[in-house]
Amino acid sequence: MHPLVMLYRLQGRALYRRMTRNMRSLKGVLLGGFGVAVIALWLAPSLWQAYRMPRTDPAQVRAVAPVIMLAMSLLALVTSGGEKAVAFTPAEVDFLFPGPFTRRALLAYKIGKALAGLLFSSVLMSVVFLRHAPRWPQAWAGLFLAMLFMHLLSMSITLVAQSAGERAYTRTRKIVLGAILLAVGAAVWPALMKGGRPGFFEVARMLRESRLGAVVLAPLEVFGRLFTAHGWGEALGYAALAAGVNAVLLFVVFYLDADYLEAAAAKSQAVYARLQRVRKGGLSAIGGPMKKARESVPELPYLMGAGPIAWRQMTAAVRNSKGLLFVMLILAMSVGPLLFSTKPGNSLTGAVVGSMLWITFIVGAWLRFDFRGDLDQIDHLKSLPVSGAAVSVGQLVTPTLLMSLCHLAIVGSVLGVMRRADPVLLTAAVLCVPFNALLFGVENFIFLLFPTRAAATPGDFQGYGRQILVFFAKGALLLVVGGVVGLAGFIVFKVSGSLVGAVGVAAGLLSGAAVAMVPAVAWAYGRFDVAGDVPA
Amino acid sequence: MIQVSGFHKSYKDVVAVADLSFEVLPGQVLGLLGPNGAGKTTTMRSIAGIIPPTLGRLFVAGRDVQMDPVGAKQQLAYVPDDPKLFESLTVWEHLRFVAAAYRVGEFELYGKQLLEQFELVEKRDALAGELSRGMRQKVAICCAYLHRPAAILFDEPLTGLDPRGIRTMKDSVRTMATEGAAVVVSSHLLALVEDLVTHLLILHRGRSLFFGPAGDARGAFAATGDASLEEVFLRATEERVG
Repeated sequence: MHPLVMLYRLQGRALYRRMTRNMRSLKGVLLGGFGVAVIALWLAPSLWQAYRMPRTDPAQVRAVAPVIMLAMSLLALVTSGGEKAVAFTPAEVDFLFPGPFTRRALLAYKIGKALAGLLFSSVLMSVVFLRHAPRWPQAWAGLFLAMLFMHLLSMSITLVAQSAGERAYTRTRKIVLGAILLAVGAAVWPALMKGGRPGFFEVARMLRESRLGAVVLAPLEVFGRLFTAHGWGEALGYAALAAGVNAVLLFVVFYLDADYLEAAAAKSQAVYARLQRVRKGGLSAIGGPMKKARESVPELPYLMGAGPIAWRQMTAAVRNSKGLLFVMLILAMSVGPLLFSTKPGNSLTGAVVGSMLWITFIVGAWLRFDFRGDLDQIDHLKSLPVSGAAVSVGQLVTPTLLMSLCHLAIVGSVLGVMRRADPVLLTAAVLCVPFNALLFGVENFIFLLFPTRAAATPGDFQGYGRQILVFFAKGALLLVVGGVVGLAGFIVFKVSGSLVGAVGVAAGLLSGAAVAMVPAVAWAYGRFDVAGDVPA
Repeated sequence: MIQVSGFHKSYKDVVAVADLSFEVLPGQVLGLLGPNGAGKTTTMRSIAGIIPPTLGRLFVAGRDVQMDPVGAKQQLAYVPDDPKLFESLTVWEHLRFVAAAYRVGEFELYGKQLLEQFELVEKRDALAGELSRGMRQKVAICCAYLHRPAAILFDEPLTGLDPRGIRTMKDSVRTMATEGAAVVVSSHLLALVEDLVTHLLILHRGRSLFFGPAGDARGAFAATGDASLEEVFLRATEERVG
């Protein structure tokens, strides 16, 4: 057996072992079952739509699919500059690069590994998009070959770039991009001249009907045709053509035999470093590594030790994620003008509260400047002469402040365009700080009880189950507290008729709940075993 | 043996290694010394065929790393600084894979001996992701020895090892050299490798300051013949800075 095939087998066995290892315990079975159930619930609406509702017109799918693939190909081309490389894992770099393997053998291994991932994701995607295809096998084959095409195209572009050299490649890339954009422009130009504002479907149709567009889209047509094929003969024919297109790309990949090892090793190091940053904190993972300690935060008072802890997290936030925090603030401030421009004259309250909730859930996961980003530093924190409560307060300050700043920026921008004091928005402004303190208190409490490092890997149903359960637990806790606070505020408002009184009571209760979370977080921090195995 | 001739590696305008030539014969243990950023890891990774040289030629057991990379790598083992293992494979599965990769027929007996030697027997079926830094290092060393390479490159091999592990590691290097392997050891732990190396290559800012038998380095840089390796290194690099 070829050693790289053996490595596939060993890794496949390892995946099976990981999936089944925890199935021996009741907890593992429950988590795994829950994960499978959640995926089934996610897919069920798509299946229901596919079998209970009329399927999409195949002509429409055929018109759109190649244009979407062209857009994705252009995106691959646009983002292919700089230091793109075929990505290998650090273990693959350390074991396979110095091993007795040819570059082509390693590429074949990489493509084979990608195939396994594509098989899994294409099965899921084919169920999600089933209502747009006449039959499932065709839908799966079309999606699988289209995803493989994108993977091979991206790989080919990277290897061409490495063979041609950076300067020559950048020039060629600009020419190719210019030519394609010219083709799109030429196709759409007549409609624009007539004063029309064509939508996406119209642009897709015009592009297909233009001579230049037809040439550019020709290799991509087959994937849409396969996806929408009715008969087996038709499907087999288009599958063969799609496989042929992929074979051409495969030929390019292997024929080039580019010396990609150095770039791939460097990329692997960068990806590994990013992974480490992802494990430490969401936002900082997206930006690049910190280069210089330029920004600093003024020292905070000691406050029984909470001050220095909060100062450390604030400094990390400012240094690691200054750019993203700035973008976040700008986005938050632009919510008001954006909503006002789309719904002038309407009440924005509902939309704003919705935006705030959405931002809370999305950004809350990024703002890991607390225990969630300190998993590897908890032993150090525990060695400090600071009480658990003070450490907990210090850890919760930074995400609470950042999220509140984001919420206040949204409210401020909306009140600015509305030019009147909306009571609901003012209430939201008053309550956001205690609410965020409670939110991050709950986040950290649950995290310290059920620590986890990274997102679940494909096929890790227990990982999915754990994540969803934790998400539900957080939601339930917040819902209970929010319900009690809301009810109390409502009762006060009904009895006294004073909105200020109601908001005051709600703010007091919310603050009380947030303060009550501190000993809970401190308890969870105290029982956190740094020597314990943290699920990866 | 390892032979490097006129090796030059640059990244755009930055010269990582310039005009480096040396050779390591079977039985020799070359200490590759230099401050951070001297070009030690770049040199090793080029010999290992991971990064191509800008200029120059590198040979492992008579095979050109650029012209015949697979042949050269078949004779070579490279243990990087902080080796990354396949987290979901067990220790024994790593040996199995390496045996298959280097076409080692009956690897089981020697594999078991290596696990015993490096005190990994109890960890045989443990997942690599559950191992400590030192144990991962030991697994990587066992993997490196499994195909009895003609040339071995160690990048900071002693970091993370316990005292017994260091002793075992050093003994194993001596044994491999005695059996005819050419060994290169890069380390900042000068006192620990002092009694291990037979030859020295001192690099500074990508250039060779000294290459030759370890005893000659004392004569070249130290006032006394019994000067420590640390003293030799400091004098060599200080003189260059001054």
